[in-house]
Amino acid sequence: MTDSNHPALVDSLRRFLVEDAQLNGTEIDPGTDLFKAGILDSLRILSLVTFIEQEFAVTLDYEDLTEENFQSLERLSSLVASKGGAPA
Amino acid sequence: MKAEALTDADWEAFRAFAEEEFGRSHVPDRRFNEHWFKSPYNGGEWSARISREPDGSVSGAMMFLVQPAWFEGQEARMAWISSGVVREAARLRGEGAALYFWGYRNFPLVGALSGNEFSNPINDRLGVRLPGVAIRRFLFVHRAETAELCQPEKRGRIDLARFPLAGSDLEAAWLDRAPEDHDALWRKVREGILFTTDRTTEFYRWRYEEAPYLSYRFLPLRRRGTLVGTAVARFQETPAGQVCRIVDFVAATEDAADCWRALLGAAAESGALFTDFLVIGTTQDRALLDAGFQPADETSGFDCVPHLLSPVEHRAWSNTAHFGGRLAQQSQAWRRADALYFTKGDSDRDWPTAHDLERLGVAA
Repeated sequence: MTDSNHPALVDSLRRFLVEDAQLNGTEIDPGTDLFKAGILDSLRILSLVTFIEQEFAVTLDYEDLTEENFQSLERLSSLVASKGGAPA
Repeated sequence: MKAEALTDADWEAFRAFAEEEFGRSHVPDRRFNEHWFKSPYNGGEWSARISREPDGSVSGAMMFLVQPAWFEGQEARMAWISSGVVREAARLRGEGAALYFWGYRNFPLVGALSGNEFSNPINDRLGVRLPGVAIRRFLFVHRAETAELCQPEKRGRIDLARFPLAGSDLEAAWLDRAPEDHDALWRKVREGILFTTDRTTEFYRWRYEEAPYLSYRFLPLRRRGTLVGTAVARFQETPAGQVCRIVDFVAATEDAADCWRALLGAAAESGALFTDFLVIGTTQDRALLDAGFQPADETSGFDCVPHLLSPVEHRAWSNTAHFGGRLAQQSQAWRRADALYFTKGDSDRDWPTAHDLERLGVAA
């Protein structure tokens, strides 16, 4: 498993994805490519946006919605951290 | 994940994509698309956004119909999500998310009337679906021939005794343009509504007088010469005769029921089989019912009169409404059924169908 700079954020995002995408039993490393793994599609990205904004009290801008930012839990957690978000 | 502005240079690629992906629900000619998606309310710029494949070809498109709105005492821009489609491979790259997200985060106000259930999950995440706020239809049947439009087993539901036509002393005469004194009436009426389309004469000109393919009639309603109401109607041909579809209506609360009665009289004189009105929000409910309209729903049984008339279809239609955008997200006050007022004509649901275009001799 890849180490993460924001392990608590990664855990929180992972828990949400596993529940939302019903991925019980699937291992998602912080560095797993979420697009290549077929975990993300348009609807799930918007679910993630809603979750991130509510859970971490941050606002994502249109410019934040890039393939790079959503590619992995590690990248996503960095995005959330850069917005000042912290685990509840 | 990028929602790019459609430009003139993209037109041919966009047209080919839209014809392939939207099918018969799309009107392909450029004049039509420029009228609606390059409107003066978007500064004359295209309000459609596109996503691209890695090779640069179009992979998705979202059409935003930009109109003037009146929101909590101020004028603002509102975008209706008119139609959108993204190829499957692009959906897996999040292109659909980018198109929707751009719309909801870019425009001050956003509205979405779902033509089907597929887009509801996305609109639920980005916009607000208020309990009890949906598109509702009110109906007044003038003539028994209306039953011919119903499915045979439901024709017995059409009972003219349920639709007594009450008189009105208002003056009403159909015109082909908005009455010149409409703006003064509208400015007074809009003060009582928190969130609605800004129904000015200028908007009516763009939305109805200059609309490609379809014709509309205006009905000023006057009391001793003073304008107290304005209605806009589309008279639609059906196999059983002409029907009167009210796509816009403005009147002060105290005059609304009388205006509806006068309107029904004018529609009856025009020979309409029935008059209907589709609305979001409850501001007109009391006046409509007082004037003799019935809700066209399962409870009344008058949902037997089809809403889809070109051609006549009896399938159920979606009635969800979502609202959002930067301004809307910041306020709670508008989030009540009696604070909203939108009509059938406000979004894109009154455009010509492929059936209409064939009838007009226009290649669809």
